[in-house]
Amino acid sequence: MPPAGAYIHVPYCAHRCTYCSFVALTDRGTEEAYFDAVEREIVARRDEVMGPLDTVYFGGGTPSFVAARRLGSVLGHLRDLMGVESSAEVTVECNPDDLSGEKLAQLVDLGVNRISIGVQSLHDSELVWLERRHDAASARRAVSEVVERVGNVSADVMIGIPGQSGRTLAETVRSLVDLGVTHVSAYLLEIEKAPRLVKLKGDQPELFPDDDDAADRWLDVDGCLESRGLVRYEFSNWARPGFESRHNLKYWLRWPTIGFGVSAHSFDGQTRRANSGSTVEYIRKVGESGVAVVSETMLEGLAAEKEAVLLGLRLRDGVEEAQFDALFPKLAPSDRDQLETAFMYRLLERAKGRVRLTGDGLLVSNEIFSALV
Amino acid sequence: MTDPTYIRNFSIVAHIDHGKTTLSDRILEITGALSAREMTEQVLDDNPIERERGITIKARSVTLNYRSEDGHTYLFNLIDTPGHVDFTYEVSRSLAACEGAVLVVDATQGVEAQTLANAYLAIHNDLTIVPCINKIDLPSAVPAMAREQIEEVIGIPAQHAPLTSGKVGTGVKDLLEHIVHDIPPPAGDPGAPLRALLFDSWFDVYRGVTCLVRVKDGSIRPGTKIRLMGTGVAAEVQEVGIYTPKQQVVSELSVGEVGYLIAGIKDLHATKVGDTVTEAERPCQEPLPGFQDVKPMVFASIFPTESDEYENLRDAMEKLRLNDASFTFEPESSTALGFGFRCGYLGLLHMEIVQERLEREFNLSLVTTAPSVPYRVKTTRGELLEISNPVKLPEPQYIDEIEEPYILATIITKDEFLGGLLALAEERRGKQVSLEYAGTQRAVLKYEFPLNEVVLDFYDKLKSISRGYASFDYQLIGYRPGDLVKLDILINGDAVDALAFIVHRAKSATKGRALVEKMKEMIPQQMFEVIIQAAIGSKILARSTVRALRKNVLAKCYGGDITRKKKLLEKQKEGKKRMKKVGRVDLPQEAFLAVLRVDD
Repeated sequence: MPPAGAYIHVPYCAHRCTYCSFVALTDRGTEEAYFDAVEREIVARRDEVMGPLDTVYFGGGTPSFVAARRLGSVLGHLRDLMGVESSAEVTVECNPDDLSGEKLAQLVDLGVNRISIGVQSLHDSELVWLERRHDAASARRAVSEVVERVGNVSADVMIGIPGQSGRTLAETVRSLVDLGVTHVSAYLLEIEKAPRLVKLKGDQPELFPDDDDAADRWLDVDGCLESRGLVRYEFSNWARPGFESRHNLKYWLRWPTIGFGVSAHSFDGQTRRANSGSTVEYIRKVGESGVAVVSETMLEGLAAEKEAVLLGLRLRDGVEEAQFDALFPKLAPSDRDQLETAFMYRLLERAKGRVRLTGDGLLVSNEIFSALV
Repeated sequence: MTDPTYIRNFSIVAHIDHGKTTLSDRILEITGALSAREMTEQVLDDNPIERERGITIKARSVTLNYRSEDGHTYLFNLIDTPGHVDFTYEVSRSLAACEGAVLVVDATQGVEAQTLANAYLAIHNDLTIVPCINKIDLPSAVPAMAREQIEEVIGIPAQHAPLTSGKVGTGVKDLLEHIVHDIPPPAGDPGAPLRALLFDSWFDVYRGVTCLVRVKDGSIRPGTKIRLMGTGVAAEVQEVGIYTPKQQVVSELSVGEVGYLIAGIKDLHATKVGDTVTEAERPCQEPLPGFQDVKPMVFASIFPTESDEYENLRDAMEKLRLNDASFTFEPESSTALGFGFRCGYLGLLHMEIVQERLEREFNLSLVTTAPSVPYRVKTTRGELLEISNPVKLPEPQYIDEIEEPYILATIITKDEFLGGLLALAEERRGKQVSLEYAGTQRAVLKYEFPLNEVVLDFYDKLKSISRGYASFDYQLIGYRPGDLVKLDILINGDAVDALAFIVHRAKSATKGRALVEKMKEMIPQQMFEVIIQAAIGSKILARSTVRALRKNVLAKCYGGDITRKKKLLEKQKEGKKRMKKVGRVDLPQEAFLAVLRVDD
């Protein structure tokens, strides 16, 4: 079994950004009890995956919003109870505003060696729509400082912000690379859960890219990063060779990950488990039994094979031909048909013993993936 | 037996929504067939889909006792008739069972196309017409206008027509007295061999086929060995009875009487409407006139969206056919859509009802193709073919001549819409037979149309041009030659058989262009470019392109929530399942009906 990774969800934020679809709270009244619960959960589930962990990932919410000692205490529990390799990748998601020199130093002291910064954009007019606390200037400062202090730095970039143009997006991406980030995650703004953005789209549809525009933007980002030496190793992630996120790769490779905290997900190689999505319920359940699992799905046989190929195809190198060919005859005729069509139109290709999505195929990946669910 | 002098057999006919059913119910209530408490509204329509659409499909009869002001009690047989143009033949057979017809005219609407068509059918069957002006309780009622139109348009006197309100009951007694005095009693010879008109039949699993009959001569009782003269089927009567409207067994049905018979017949198709029932051993000399084997005039194919639903679809159709002798189907195999059925219907409404019942009552997901009409093709080798499926049309070089069915249509409209309707008629290859004014602002148009110009969306167009006012009725008048061609629709270069249709050559290019544009709107973007072409033989008339889908990706997954992503994908896949794969292209169900949605 490959080494496992741990995810810890930190739901607290200074502000609830309109587009965010994750568990995020601005009320910190539960913070103390929450971190106690996370540590109890670690105690209770310490044997669920085999240690030592080789990745630890604090996501949110805004992990940088809470005191560093809280993260340190959680890390301590993980080290003591499950073991964390000395070479482990330890990532913390940060908001640019939280990265005062002191906070950063504290995180480094805890052993954090990778910072993922929620930059989103380096244009103030775009950041306004996202209701981010930071402005472009503070984001630049934060990125430079983290690059200097930590080295392994990822920046999140958003495609499809109201008013964003191909030019402003390219500027953001270029600046980030110039500032020295080693990793970029780009994703599409989903406005469905953001009523203010839905309304804005109704009033001023011209501010939003249509699907084809969004696809062009993604290609712009890809072109810009690849030409600067950041390789797209997964659909929405680019990195300088050697700086790929080891933790995120585990999700696509179906390696074991254990998630602690509200709404966290775990996978032990066979079964997917999800924790309660309510912070209050999470704290209560952990208080009662040490765990807060609310759903469990065990995947076996064909379902597992399909999922492995589906996830693997998100990676630049795709999946092994043998793995794909073993699955193919077991699929329903209509699904086989769909995949054959994808090969025919060069959306899927065979290369060097592997099956992978082509550039065009990436853009319509859901059409292909739907044959694998 | 009841003395025929005191029997009155009649139907109530009307344009749709002129209040026929409410008036019938009121008559039932007044004659004591049902107490007010037992009345549920509109008891004669007992199929939910009929009720929903406000139309009556199956004929029913009800036997009522009415004590007239002359002191005698009369036996009324009220025979309900189907209320739609598709069922003209059934209406005419129901009327043939009567001596009279109450012609209901809505006092707010006046004479409409179906009023006229029904009046003509009644006159054709030598019936005495009792006009009746209904809905006089409404503030907008203008009885004088309705009266004038009855006299001018239909040409029957109406100065004494009862003024009624089925809703509140006004004038219904007066109407019943008119029925007693104006409609003649039935004539016939009680001693002659049995001669009875079969005017409705239906099937149920417990008793088999029940037939509604009107005895013209002789009598019928349990034990009578009967023969149906048209189909030749022989059987022994087990039970006769009447509906009051509750089913009530009687010892015999005699001259002039109307009731049901059950004779152990299991197949509805053996009991055709319009057939003559006679005694097997002592047959009558001549069958009753007017019997026809009704042929479907509208054809369309039905395919299950999922091929494994084929058997379920067949079972459902067989169940429907048990009770609908005019619905036909035969297996069909389409290259594009797989296995399905070519179905025949009396008309468009009949088609819609059957398709809706299949989807609703049997919970099937179906792809239906655009309706077509039966063509007669003379080949160069001298064969005569009946083509009810465009796919089967021979290649042009083997066709000597094609004939298509024509109808005589009656359209009644306010004159302000005349211009638009004349243009529509023109565009649909209509030939004007007459244009008359009836009263002020009211025009009666008669046109001959090729049926295929009417089956698509004529009725919807008519209604939208006239803002709902114009009414329409038609009858078939035979076959005539036409310059017709098969228009093929090609998807990425392959002709899709289920999309082919037959069109007049002069309209083929316009139609083809409009259709490919319409389909472009309906077909979702796919992983690749979809090219839609319209062609006659190898000649491409029009082309449009659905661009390849550029983007269909989900945002990044966080925190390992793979399950959520998969759920989204599954949802997307579910949506696709409702589409039909033709070659590699997913076509939504409505694309097969695009031809109905084309704005000419």
